[in-house]
Amino acid sequence: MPTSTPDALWSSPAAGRLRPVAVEVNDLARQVGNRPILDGIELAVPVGARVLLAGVDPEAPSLLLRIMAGLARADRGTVTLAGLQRETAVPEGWARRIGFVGSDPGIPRWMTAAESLDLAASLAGIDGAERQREIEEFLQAFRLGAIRDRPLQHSGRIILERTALAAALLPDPEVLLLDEPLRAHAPSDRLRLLRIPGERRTVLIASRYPAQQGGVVDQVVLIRDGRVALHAPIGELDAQRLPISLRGLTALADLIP
Amino acid sequence: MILTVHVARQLWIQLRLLGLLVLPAIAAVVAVIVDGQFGAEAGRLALAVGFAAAAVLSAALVGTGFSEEIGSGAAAWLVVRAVPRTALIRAWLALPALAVLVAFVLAGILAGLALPPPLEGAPGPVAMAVTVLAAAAPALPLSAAALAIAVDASSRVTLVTVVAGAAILAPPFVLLGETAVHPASGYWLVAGMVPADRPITVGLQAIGLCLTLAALAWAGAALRFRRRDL
Repeated sequence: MPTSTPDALWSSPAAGRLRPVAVEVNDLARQVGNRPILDGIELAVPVGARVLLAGVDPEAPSLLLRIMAGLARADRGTVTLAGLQRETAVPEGWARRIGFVGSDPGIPRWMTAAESLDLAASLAGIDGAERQREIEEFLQAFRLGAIRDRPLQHSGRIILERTALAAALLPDPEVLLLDEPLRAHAPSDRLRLLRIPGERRTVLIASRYPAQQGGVVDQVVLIRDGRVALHAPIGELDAQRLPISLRGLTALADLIP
Repeated sequence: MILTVHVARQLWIQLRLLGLLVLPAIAAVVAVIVDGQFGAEAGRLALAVGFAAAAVLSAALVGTGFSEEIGSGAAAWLVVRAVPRTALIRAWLALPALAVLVAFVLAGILAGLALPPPLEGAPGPVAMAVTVLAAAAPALPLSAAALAIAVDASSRVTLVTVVAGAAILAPPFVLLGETAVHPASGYWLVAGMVPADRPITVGLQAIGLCLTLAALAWAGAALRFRRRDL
């Protein structure tokens, strides 16, 4: 499948040295009621990183991802994902390069799994034989083949969540935003599905339960008082013998100046 | 095109499209029955009231459908795939408007064939077409207003607000009657209460008013939808 970034560029030594940024957030702020949930977020995530977003205010990471995805508005600040800004991006380019899965799968329940993948592919500008091939491949990969033509309203939440993840991954996005994903899944299935393939793919996971993301992420971000209080490799927690938990992240944020 | 097909399927599966297509026909059938029981004048009045009710209920169907689209997360699912919010809310007005137009034209033909013409003589085809379009036109601003309500309200609240709002708006229009041209003048045309020499002028003015109000209400709905968190 053709990707938006030429292979030659990615395989060049320069790309490895430069560590290009996939997600860039500048001075992002959002107040809900009188509460400043986000108050000047600055964040730069390199290509290929797997990042856990946690927050002392549990709403903050989720709101940040939803602003990134274009679902919520920001009071100020800018977001650049895979070099694109939502307001100026060509719709098909955005749909192809940016994926989002929310805590609510959101797929129209009257659709079948195959139809929802087909719609996701159409909106990303994937056409013809390529579309059919991709749909079949994803139906099988996400174990949706047996119920492919059954309306999703007759399936449980687990199927809905798997379909939502498959639909988000089908266009092969460069940046994948996961807001409390796969909550209905058993921990082992969750971890298996969240080990998203793709070295160039950058994955941001917002979670109220950081411990559940162990083994999936390689960086952690803590949002406190509306700002990024910590952005560190997950190895730092081990080095300081701190657990992957909100308490551990808060303690690490206090240790690192 | 992808979006239009999606909204059409959504309306069809929720049986809303069927409702939009059938409501004016029900009004026409009721009018024919009333005509048989109580005479032509009562029949035409019943048709006018039925068409007005069909327009209000059509708007309620549109508004509740859009509210459910937002509430279920389906709108968000489309928006994260870079579907412009303006395009989504435009599809939710344009497609039902087309269905309402088709339904009113078919119901108008049915009523025109079944009901006897007013005493002043049968209106010409142009006057009849303008009358039917003027009767369908209020569904547009009502639907746009319903969309504006649905942006932030549940489907139940949307339904109640649209019906209650129409009930509050109806008496002033009834009091105005045929003395002035207003967005609901089409129903006075349907009831045969407008002088026979004026139906085209009155009908066109009413359609113009409805289109203007619809544009304003839709712009308000689109603005609200753009600012809403999904």
